[in-house]
Amino acid sequence: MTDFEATVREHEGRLHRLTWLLTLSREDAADITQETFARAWRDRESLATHPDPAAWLRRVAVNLCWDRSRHRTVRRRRDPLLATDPTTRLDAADLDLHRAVAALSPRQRQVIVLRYWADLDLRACADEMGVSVGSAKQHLARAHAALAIAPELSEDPT
Amino acid sequence: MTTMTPTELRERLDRIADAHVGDLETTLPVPASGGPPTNRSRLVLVAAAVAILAGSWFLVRTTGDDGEESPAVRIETLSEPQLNLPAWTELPVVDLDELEPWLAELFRERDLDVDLSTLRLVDADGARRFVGLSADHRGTFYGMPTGNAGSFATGGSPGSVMLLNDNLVVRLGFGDPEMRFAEDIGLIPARIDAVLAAGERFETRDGLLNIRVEGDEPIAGLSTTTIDGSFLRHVTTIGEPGSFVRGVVIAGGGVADFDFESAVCLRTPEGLHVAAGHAEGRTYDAFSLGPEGVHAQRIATDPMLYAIATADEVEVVELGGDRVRVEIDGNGVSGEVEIQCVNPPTLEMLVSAMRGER
Repeated sequence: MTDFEATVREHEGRLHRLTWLLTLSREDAADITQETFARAWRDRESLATHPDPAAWLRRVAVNLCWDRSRHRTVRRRRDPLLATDPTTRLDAADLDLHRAVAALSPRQRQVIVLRYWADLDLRACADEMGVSVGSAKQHLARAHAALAIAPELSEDPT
Repeated sequence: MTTMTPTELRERLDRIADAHVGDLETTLPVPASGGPPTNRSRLVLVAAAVAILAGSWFLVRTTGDDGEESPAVRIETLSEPQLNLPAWTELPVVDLDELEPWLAELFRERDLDVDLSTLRLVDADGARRFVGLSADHRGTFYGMPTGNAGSFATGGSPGSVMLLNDNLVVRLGFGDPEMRFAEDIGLIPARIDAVLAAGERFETRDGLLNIRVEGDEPIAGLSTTTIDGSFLRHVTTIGEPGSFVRGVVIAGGGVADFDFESAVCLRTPEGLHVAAGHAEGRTYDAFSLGPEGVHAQRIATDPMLYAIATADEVEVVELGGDRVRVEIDGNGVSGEVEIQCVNPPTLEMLVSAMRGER
């Protein structure tokens, strides 16, 4: 197994989940995950010496997801994933959360996913989103409100 | 919604993501679980598309000596993505252990520098899997996993898309120029002829092709066009009744953004699928994929079709001529609307779809 292949195998699962959480689209997630690795392949020499390959891949994926969301000029009126699909493994609370996350704006979803799912601090979230810390904080506050996040979660530790 | 701790939120997001994409990971390159088929296996189908992208693969299916079809086998490659490689060809029936030399010869014929050591055979998960491949005009190819029969590959590049299934291989693209291109890269001309002879290739406008694959439900509509040298692609897929059309649209050169995520599939009791696409702004398209042998039609140019197609409740108020009036409610739209279709038969199909299973 090559080093690059090992990198793919190490990160693809988590990257795939990240891209899905950011796009809520199986096709988009698969597409972006693949594109991320394609870019990683092109930059494999620098990636090989990067101190945090996961962060490198995540940033590329986040940017690709954001680029795609900007071209989504029409929002889905109905959640196609829920309409078709594999949520039978989810309980009612998770389904509620899924719907709530789907209703967030792309930026709000980004910051929630990066802050809590990827466990980044607010500054790192802002860096990966390409926005100021203040802007990230604002998006986070709105997302907290939209998701009815618990007070202890709203107290961002950064 | 109940309150959550960070850990709970993380876990729940993980569960949600896992429920949606966890199964897809079986379509990503994974180590063989049961080992490759034996050398006695025979490759009966098909597919080689050297999608030169990290983690891409092509798919073959094997039949053992007992005649039983095996799970699909993926052949993965981690080769250089920028190489201009053959996107597509059809494998002859060969022994599995002849595959590598066969590929080597193929690549040599095409003067392609492919490192065969990057190719591996792995078992797929046994489910019916298909691979769709897209190729852009620069000759860079992408391989994307698709799901079950009837689903469609979406790729990340402008240009064209190919669909593989066990009965028929269809390449969708730009029309005549694309067909020539398809021949250039090895799609069996007889296959194209068969498709054309069967009347299953419908060019409706500006290079738009709607294709259905015989023996199955309607699969896909695809349109491509070239505007001032820029490529614009719509790929629509037909999923389960009521599901949204999957789409990938790439626009360039100042062409308006389109979003076929907004399109939906309907299904009549007769099996008709209607894909209604909505592009925000100045352009609206709706396509129907009619019963086999029926010309695919552009069925409407009214954005309300989208509202109708996505409404919770639809009641046909009046049907006559080339128009239908319907009462709709849901998805933020309520009221009576009128749509016009280009021809009455298509209108009837649309109405039938609205009245039927959704």
